[in-house]
Amino acid sequence: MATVIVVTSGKGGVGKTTTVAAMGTGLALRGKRVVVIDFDVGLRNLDLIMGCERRVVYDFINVIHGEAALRQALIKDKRVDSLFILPTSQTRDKDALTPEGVQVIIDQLREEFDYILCDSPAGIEHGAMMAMHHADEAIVVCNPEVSSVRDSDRIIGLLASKTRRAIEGHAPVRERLLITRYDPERVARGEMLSVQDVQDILAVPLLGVIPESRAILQASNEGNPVILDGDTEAGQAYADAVARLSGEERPLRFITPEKRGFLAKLFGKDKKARGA
Amino acid sequence: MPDSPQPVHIKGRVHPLAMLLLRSTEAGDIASHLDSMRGEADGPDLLARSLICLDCSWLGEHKDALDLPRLVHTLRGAGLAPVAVKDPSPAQEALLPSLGCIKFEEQARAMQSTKAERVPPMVVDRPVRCGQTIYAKGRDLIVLAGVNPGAEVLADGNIHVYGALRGRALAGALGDVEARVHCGQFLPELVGVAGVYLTSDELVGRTSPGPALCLLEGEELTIHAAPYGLAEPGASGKL
Ligand SMILES: Nc1ncnc2c1ncn2[C@@H]1O[C@H](COP(=O)(O)OP(=O)(O)O)[C@@H](O)[C@H]1O
Ligand SMILES: [Mg+2]
Repeated sequence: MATVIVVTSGKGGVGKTTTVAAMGTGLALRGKRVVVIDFDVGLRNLDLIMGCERRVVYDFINVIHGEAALRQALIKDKRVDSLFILPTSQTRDKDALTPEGVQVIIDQLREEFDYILCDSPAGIEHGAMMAMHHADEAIVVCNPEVSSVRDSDRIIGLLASKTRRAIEGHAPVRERLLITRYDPERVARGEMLSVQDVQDILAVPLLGVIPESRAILQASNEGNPVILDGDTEAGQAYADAVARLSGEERPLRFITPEKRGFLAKLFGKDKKARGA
Repeated sequence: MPDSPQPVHIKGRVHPLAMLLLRSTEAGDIASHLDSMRGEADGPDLLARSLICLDCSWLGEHKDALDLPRLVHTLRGAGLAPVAVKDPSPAQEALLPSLGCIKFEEQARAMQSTKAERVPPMVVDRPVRCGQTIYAKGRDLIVLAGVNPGAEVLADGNIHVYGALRGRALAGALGDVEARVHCGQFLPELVGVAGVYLTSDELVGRTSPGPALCLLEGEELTIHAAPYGLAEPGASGKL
């Protein structure tokens, strides 16, 4: 029986889709059967970041409407066995997602997979509520800035009150915090909130901290989830988060400013050398 | 009348009246007993500083045997201040205006007791998050965690936030000017008591990384950081 994990944030552009691609791939690399579902109807980012956009024929909405079988819409990843993508539609609007329709699909997927990762759209409207509705667990993605923390706080409140588990009175959704786009140097200069600042407010267990990294943009452009590049800090940080999700203990990394040599500082060579 | 161990007994004080439970109908006995108790901790010296209510309820059907005017005048002569009588007989009640006393109203006592009655507080054991509002109607509110930015807590009574108050808190929502806001860290967006409030704009430099409380002093909402020392104005950590 699969665990349904929603990746959510409230705010847009914080790294939800990047996280679904990386964590989904990371879990599959560990041999888990994983499906990632794009709930961001109308934008359709996940298949791009997973590098399978050219193979999309049918989508999530087609399946909900009975226009295609679930089997036909699931795209098998070419790099990692046991990883599947359920893309969404770029043409339909968000109301195409109905609670009953989503339920039927989730119930079917639960039989066949270990993990179902739901990539939530931004906001707290219908699409985001649909993405979190069936969740057993939640990864709350947050950037170290005031507005992102506030939106994540809002979402955590909704997880505790508006999900199926909350409504039906089951054990609450297990929430975990993933701080992304963390720049230790800017934190040290007081330009960004620290891990501690964010945790003080959100009071949710920490799944990981993903550093700000140029490797992510490149990975997205190439359609290669960043976790596949073990040389990058972001890739390693995501691998740590996957390990923690699987119950292993890993110390936090990449959260203090790197001590830079005088020359490196002068020539700004460090970033490249770190492969970030 | 029932056997009385002592002719009169000081039953205690129901603020602001001292209740004097009469156990004798002899005004002279009562006065001399009070006199003999002078100097005792719970004796009549206590009464000298209070308004007194003479309680006839113990006397039952014998209360008319008591010469109420004589007792009132004797007590006044001793420097005490009887101002009310509880449970007088109808005849005694008729005399009260001429004695400068009022009848102690059960209703007034009932009000006192509802105030003393304890309504259990509302207890919230998790953070109050952005977009959430919690209202403790007719009671105190205790939040065992923090109140986050964009969250709002209200109570008709006091508000206690064990964690950080970063959102809005309004105590005494129905106008109780004695309500207070206590918190573990004072970083609010807005704080108020009985409709008098301060916004974070007006709180610049008056926040506190440690425990603080907020209360009304007259018209002014004041903030005090721990250690409070409220009894000594000079020592209070007023922000
Ligand atoms: N750790 C990171 N470092 C640098 N850029 C990042 C990081 N995570 C995400 N991004 C970038 O931020 C943008 C938004 O990411 P995305 O995953 O699409 O966010 P969301 O799904 O929350 O809207 C993208 O351009 C992505 O490349
Ligand atoms: Mg996205």
